[in-house]
Amino acid sequence: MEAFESCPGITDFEHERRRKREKYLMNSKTIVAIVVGVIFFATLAAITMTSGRNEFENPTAVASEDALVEQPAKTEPADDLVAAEPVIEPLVCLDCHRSPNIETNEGIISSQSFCYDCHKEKTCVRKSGTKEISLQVVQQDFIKQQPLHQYIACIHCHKDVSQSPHKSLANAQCRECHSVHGEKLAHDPHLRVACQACHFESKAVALNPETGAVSLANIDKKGNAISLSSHAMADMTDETSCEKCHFSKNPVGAPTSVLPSKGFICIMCHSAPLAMGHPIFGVAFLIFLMGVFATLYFWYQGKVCGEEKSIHKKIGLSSETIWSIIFSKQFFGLLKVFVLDIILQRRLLQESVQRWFMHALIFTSIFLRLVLGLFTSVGFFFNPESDMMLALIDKNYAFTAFANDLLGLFIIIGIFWAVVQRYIIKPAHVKTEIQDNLALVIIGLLVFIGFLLEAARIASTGIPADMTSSAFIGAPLAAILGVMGLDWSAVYPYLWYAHGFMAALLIAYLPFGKMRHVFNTPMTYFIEKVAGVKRGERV
Amino acid sequence: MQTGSVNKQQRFTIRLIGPILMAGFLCLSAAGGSPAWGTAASAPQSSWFVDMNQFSASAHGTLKCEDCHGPMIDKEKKSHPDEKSPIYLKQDPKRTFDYGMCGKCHKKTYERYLKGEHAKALEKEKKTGEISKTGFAPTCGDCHSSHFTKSHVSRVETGKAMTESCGTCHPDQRNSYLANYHGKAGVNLEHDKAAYCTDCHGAHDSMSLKDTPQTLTTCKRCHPDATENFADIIIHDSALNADKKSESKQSGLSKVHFLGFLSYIFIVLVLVLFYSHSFLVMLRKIHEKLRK
Amino acid sequence: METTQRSTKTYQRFSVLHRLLHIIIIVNFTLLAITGFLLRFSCWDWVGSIVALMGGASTAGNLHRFSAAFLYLGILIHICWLFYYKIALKGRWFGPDSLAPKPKDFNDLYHNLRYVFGKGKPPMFDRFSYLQKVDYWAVMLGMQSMGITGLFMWFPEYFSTIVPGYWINIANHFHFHEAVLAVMYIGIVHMSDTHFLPEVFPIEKSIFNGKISEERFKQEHPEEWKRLNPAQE
Repeated sequence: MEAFESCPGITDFEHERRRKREKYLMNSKTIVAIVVGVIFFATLAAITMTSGRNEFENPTAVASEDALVEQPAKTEPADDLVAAEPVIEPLVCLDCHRSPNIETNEGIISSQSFCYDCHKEKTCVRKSGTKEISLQVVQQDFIKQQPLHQYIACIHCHKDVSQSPHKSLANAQCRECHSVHGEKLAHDPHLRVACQACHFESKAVALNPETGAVSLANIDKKGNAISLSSHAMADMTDETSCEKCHFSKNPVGAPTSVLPSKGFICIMCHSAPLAMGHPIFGVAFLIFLMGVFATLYFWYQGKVCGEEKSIHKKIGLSSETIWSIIFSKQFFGLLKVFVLDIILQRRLLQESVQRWFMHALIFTSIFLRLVLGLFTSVGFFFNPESDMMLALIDKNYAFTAFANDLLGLFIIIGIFWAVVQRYIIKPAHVKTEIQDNLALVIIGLLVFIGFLLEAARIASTGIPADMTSSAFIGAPLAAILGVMGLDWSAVYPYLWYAHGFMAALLIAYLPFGKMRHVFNTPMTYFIEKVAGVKRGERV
Repeated sequence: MQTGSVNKQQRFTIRLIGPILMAGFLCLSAAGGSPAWGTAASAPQSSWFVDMNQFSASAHGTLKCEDCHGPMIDKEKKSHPDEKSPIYLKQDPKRTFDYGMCGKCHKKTYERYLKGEHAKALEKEKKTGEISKTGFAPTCGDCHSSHFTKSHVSRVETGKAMTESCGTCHPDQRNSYLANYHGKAGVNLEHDKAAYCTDCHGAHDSMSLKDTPQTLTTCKRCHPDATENFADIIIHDSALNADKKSESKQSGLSKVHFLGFLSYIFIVLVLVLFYSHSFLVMLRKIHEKLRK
Repeated sequence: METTQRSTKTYQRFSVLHRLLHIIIIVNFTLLAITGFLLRFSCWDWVGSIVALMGGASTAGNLHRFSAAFLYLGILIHICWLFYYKIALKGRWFGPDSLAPKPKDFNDLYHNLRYVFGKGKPPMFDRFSYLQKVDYWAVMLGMQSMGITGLFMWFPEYFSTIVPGYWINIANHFHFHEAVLAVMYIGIVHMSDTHFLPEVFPIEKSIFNGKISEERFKQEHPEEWKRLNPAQE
């Protein structure tokens, strides 16, 4: 340090800094005053543009104060500023290079002023060929654009910029404070889209072919470099902002039209939000409810506990019965029926191994997808930050992709088997009616279009092959679709609506045709259990 | 047997299915690795800002900035930072810092480094200007954080840390080491008798160990009875970067992988066959029982 | 051979030695699997703490080697018994009581598959069904190969003087793959055969008490029953 002190070429700005410190000490003798002064200085430097004298970039101003250079600067009381450090000498390096504690307001202000020192200037540019791209960030503008983010440090989001070479590789991060949107606002392909791509005003977006990630582009469509230094946010309530990606022949492989979110009825097979999604799902659910009511109405035409006329009394009596059964020992009997006869399909296994197998392929797969979907939806609702939930809502994640494809495949095999049974083998117990055909066609088409949809998603979004390898049906199918040379991002919306329509049809059809057995059969088992009807005595 | 016992049996089966599914899920999620979307960016390795809490607790905590960095004005009276400089804000300090400074105190170490492969690569890089596939040739700062590295760290801690720091440029070697017994015992299970990177490749010598006698010498540190063949055991048993291995190891490796692949196919086939057999027998037997 | 227990008749199926060997296999196999997989999957965080509880990697490793030696001792005793069976008991290595594979086993497999697909009656098993023979040979042959590959990794210095060094790597692959096979085979196939099938649920006790009831004897090993009681059929 001695060498440093005696060095004749001591930098101008250092002297200026010392002079300033001494000035403060002359004005105020107490530590409190020093702290207030520092805050005042930092605030002044940070918030008002006028007093932001930049030691680094204003050599002329310093030069005019050359007289101060020779001013003795020994035993600075300013050491109090760094009194917490064990070092006796004034560590001038640390005036700038001390890591600011960006958890505190003081640290935030000083670290912000560090950045603004350069970035407030118009001359703060990046060279791209001959063009100069502005990197200027004016504090007043930033406050206007990001009224809440003004209270956090720049390096809170721009984690990796405070180093040389001075450029960000990871871009600004949002997820330390914000969690990703769930299925409702942004379904899983959007997990690959950087927050800024939607939330910032800049219009150009780009796909990274290596990771399949979508982010804001730093060149526009014509290949000109554009400045991303503006922190202006896009109006997310305006759906046209989605059209930044969702337009015809877009560069990121997004579907060419903005699609609605999944509806709550999709919970049958997918994790789903608590939203209607598309009106057609709502209509389907209404029809479903009407069907349920019609069925209930039909049931209540009969006698209930001797009561024949008043539906009101019938409902009262039956609910009384249900209540008293649920809160009695019989509940465990019902639980047993639920597990053995409904989940494990004991009675079907008693009939025939082959029929059990075929039915289990369809039923168990749908049931497991329902369980997985419910688990994901509820889990994500309560803990959107957990790695497990993020993995489960991401359809490209190895487990999710594998489970979905495997269970889908099982359903298709089951349907195929049923078709073969019904039309080729034709055993005695199978009586084919139009209802059976309808049920098979709806579920078969639903799953088949689902697979097509998955393949089209993989083909159009350009996700690298190693990320989708677990989707052992979707990925090869996507390769086949890719060969066909269609613009799958344009076809995707049609497929989506077809899949959604089939799902709506299935839900609407549940209480009417063959699919009514989903409710009727378990109900019958429960009633038999309660009434003590022995097997084989059924009417 | 009565139906009661069948129910009991099936209930037991159900209790079993849950944990099996759970275990399968865990296995899959562990095998699948971390999700692909961007996780929150971590703080940069080297930063303009020095965390003084960490620095003062580090091995160099008693040094002053100027001891290593020199005064922040050079002979031409240029101040710091120098905006006019062509490398202003552009060059990684690890590439520009004069690590001869480290040699002031760590003389022997620095000399060994100068003899090793890393220094040779650095020389080549300076001459040709080409950066190798693994990245820049490492200087001191690429492996050691001069600001934050603590002193007198235990063998296990050092070993774990070096696995990570070597692994930043040699990720395949890191992974294959961790798949090997040495890595599993030494890093994962913290068994300090197992070899870490520098135990074989030398501290700061950074030997490539392509040469069999040289390899054997390193093996003999822990396996004194080792003979020439012993040096042919492949520690970094991975097809990636196999072209850098000696020829005998390359041919050995291809055989290892071929036979390993065969045995993998074998167990998958056997399991598929026997699992489906057991499942079908089980279904049929339960069916029969239910019909009684 | 016959003993009466209460009212139901039971028959001796396994001698004390075999029951003891089975227990030796259970204990050591479990220990081997646990310690082995703890090393193999040590990349998972929680494994480290479990190994630390066991006393660190060296203790776990020693336990693995000890169990391996103990288990192989059992195998050796069994091999000695085989000679005793041949010489002193005048047993036949390929007779109906033995575990040697026979053409009948393939016939049984065929009939059992027919039965499984609902096309016939279950086959008439002799003293050991084909799946029980597979169980036996899986352990018997598996232990040899696990033993050899294990020794390769235990004494690499010695074995590398005999074979090229990369054989140690091959041994490593085989050892792991076969361990997975063994655990997954025992865990599902053997367990379903001896615990979950309706006729044995919850546990097949004959390997522990050596006895089998007459009813099940007739049902599961009809061929042997016929052989032992020709008059009754």
